Order: sequence, then C-alpha cells, then structure tokens
Amino acid sequence: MKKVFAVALGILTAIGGFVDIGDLVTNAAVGARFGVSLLWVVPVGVLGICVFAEMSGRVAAVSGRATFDLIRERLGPRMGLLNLLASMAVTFLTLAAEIGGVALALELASSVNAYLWIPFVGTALWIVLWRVKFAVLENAFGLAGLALIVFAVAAWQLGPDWGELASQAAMPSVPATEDVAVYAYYAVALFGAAMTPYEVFFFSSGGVEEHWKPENLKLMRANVFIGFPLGGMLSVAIAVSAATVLLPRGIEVATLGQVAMPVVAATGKIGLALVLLGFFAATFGAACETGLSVGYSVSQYFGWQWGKFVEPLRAARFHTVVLLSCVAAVGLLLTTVDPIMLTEYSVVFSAVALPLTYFPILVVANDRTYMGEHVNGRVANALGVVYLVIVLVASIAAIPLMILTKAGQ
Amino acid sequence: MCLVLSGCVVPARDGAAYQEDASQSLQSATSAVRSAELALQSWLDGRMPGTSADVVVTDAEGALGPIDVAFGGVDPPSRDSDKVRSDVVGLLGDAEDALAQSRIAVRRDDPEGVRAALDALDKAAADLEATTATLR
Repeated sequence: MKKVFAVALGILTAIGGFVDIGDLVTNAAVGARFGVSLLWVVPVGVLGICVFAEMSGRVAAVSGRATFDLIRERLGPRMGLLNLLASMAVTFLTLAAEIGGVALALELASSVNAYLWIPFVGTALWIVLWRVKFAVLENAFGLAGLALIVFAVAAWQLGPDWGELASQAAMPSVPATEDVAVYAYYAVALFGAAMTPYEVFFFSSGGVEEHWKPENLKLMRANVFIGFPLGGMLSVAIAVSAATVLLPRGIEVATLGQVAMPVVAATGKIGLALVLLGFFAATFGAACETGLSVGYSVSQYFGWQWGKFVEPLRAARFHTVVLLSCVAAVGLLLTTVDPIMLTEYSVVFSAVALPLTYFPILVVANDRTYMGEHVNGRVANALGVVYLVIVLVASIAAIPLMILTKAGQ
Repeated sequence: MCLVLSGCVVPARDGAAYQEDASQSLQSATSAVRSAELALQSWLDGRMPGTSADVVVTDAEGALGPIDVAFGGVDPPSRDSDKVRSDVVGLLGDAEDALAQSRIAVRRDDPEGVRAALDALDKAAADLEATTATLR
C-alpha cells in the first residue's frame, strides 16, 4: 500500500509540476494563433523530455551522482564549463520568468501591480529554498499544480468541434494567414518550452537529494513515462481552450490574464480561483526548481558540497549561489522588463542550449564505468540519437527564425 | 537588433511595408480591445471578479500605448500613405478612449458604465477589424 501511495504521489506531482510559465504562455499563444495545427510539437517534446529525464534519472540512481557532477569528469573542464555557462544562462532567464509569473498570478488575484509583488516573491522564494525540506517543496507545489486540470475541464465545457480539432491536429498545416517562418518559430518555441534544460538537471539532482538507488528505477520510470505525458495533456488542454475562445476573437496572448480567459469563459469564478491557484503553484514550484538548478549546476561543476539533504551551513556556497540568483532575478525583473516577453525569449534560448544539455547525458548514460549493467539499451540510444538530431536542428534554427520573424510578429 | 527582437515597428521602406506595419498595429490593438471586451462581459455576467477584470482591462489599455507610439513614430514613405496614417492613428485613439472608459467603469463597479464601455469597445474592435481587412 505504501508503494502504491509513493507511485501515485510521484505521478501526481510529475503531472502538476510539469507545466511552468513557459508552457502556460507558449501553449496559449500557439493555440490562440494557430489553433491546434502546431499541437504535434507537444508529444514530440514530451517524448524527448521523457527519454532524457529517464536517462539522467537512471544515471543518478545508479551512480549516486548528478548530471553536472559527471559531465565535467567525463567530458573535461572546458566542455563542462561551456555546458555550465549555456545552461546556467538559460536557467537563470527561466528563473526570472517564473518569478515574474508568480507576481503576475498574484496581480490577477489582488489587482496590486506585479512589480510591487516581485521583491516579496523573490524573498519568499529564497526563504522556501533555504528552509523547506526538498520533499515538501516538491510534493506541495506539484500537487497544487494539479489545479491546472481546470484547463481540461474548460476545454470540455467549451464544447469545441472535437472531430474538426482532431483532424486539424492529425493533419497539421500552416494557416493561410501565417508565414511558414513564423509557424516554424513557434514550433521551436513550443519544443523549447517542453524540453527546458533545467528539468533534467533538477530531476537528476533531485534523485540524488532523495537518495535514489537502482531499486528505485521502476518508480522513477513510472513518474517519467506516466506523469510527464499526463502533464503534457495539460499543455494540450491550454492550447485547445485558447484555440476555442481566443482565436475566433483575434486575441493574441501577451499577458497571463489572457491565458486565464478561456477558463473564465467556461467555468466562471470557481474556475478562475482554481486557475490562479494553478498559476501560482506551477510558477512558484518551477521557480524553486530553477533556483535550485542554478545552485546545483554551479556547485556540481566546482565540486562544492550541494543539496538540501545537508544542513545549509555545510553547503554554504550552494546556498549563496541560490540566494544570489534570486537577488539577480529580482533585479532583472525590476528593470520593468515584461515577464511574458522574458518567458517568450527564455523558451527560445532554451531551444538554443538544448544540444549542450542533452549530448553529455547521452554520453554519460552510455559509459559502463558509471552505469555498469544499467547502461543505455538500443531503444534508449536510438531515441537519444534521433532527439539529438532534432534538438540540433531546433538549436541552429532558433536565433535566425527569431530575427527573421521579429520574434514571431 | 534590439528593435527587431522586441517586435517594435521598424521604419517602413515603401508604401507596402508601411501598410504591413499599419496592419500589424491594428491587429495588436484588436487583440487588446477584444480581451477587454471578454473580461468586461465576464464581469457583467458574474463570471469574473472586478479585481481580475480590472487587471485584464488595465493590461489591454497599457498595450495600446506602445502600439500607438511605435506606429506614430514611423514616417509615412509618401503622400499616398498619409491617409493610412491618419486612419490608423484615429482608430488607435478611439480604441484607447474605449479602454479608458472600460477601466473607469470596472473600477467604479458600475454595471451601466460597463455596458456603455462594452458598446464602445465593440465599435472600436469592429472598426479596427474592418480597416485591417482593407489594408490586406
């Protein structure tokens, strides 16, 4: 019974924790602009994150060490440093976007300007990262994030023509009013949002925090292969509800309020209360994950003591990096940069950094020195190589498409 | 590079490019106006609290300003484009007025004012959409 509970809890938190500000904004923006014709990217991205999360989780469970810890050792300090700088920059940008997302959710609930909330959110985030236990942090926000299921309820209540939607999704095409380059730009953004690099750093470091062993592999795989795809269904629901309510009205998504409007239209005040809870939990939970990921990656690269499984005093440099990243993210937001614009850029820059994140994981997962009998099998390697090609194409195309389309204008 | 990446309207090279800028500005304005309209209607139907409706309307009004400034800052490339400029600037001004009226009404908790604002928003959005169609 205890095992069943652990599996269920793991899957539920994986679902609730799957969506972050990048998924919320990008899926709603794509649904409002392209209907469901770009939804094929979501399963492609979800399968990709499943493949590499499983690999990094397996590395953590078998070796007892997290990804960055091994990247430097296996690929050398130069490659490790390049990896560290690229992933840290993207993860920091995502951290700032998540803090901005929390502030926007609080603004929607209170009507107090988001920029006034930002310093409080940054402080609360740091206190949570410093004081709250890892398991509590992961489970509480993951479970509260399940409130976003209200998007699926809204999509159902709105009663779109499911047959028409299914045929559009099954045979995707560029809408007549849109440019091919803009369509490709949003495809890359959606892919970047689904495969954000911090997710695998957090997943593998979290495995070490929770002392995974090879006997935990089944539980880890259940979380990844059941929880993540169900979390991906939330992304689909966000896009479908936006396609049903926002697209016919010509509303393009530029604010978090617009992301919530389909739920309001379908379910009223109760739905809005749930969606605000979901926004808060998803963005605050992701802010915790990105904040910790910055600390994990720097500490693991330099070989410092890291993690929340030790007393803060014993991991002082790790906690200092976390604190400084929270302060810097708040500072960036207080320049009055638009958090939604920051989110849009963070998902595209995520796509740029993808090969630097995923290539080393594939290398380490194939190394018998670390993995022994749990080294990658044929299926994992075939999928890993296919996805490396896809992330390489997305990475090369991201910046030219951004310039060519004026960031999807 | 920064202007391009931030999606601002860049200087028009010719009449066609100017019309494209105008069309983009009108579409963005329509999006803001329709968002406010949806929020006000939801508030009127009792499906959305005033605090959240106020945020959506205020965001929509805040979005209009940069659109107006960006388009207004582009010089029309020829005399033929002057009419496009005056039409678009006028429509953006009407939309801004309707959004300001909406913000005031929703903050006053005034259903009559919100109904009047909804009419103004609907007219502004219809005009924006009609002009966008003529520019294509």
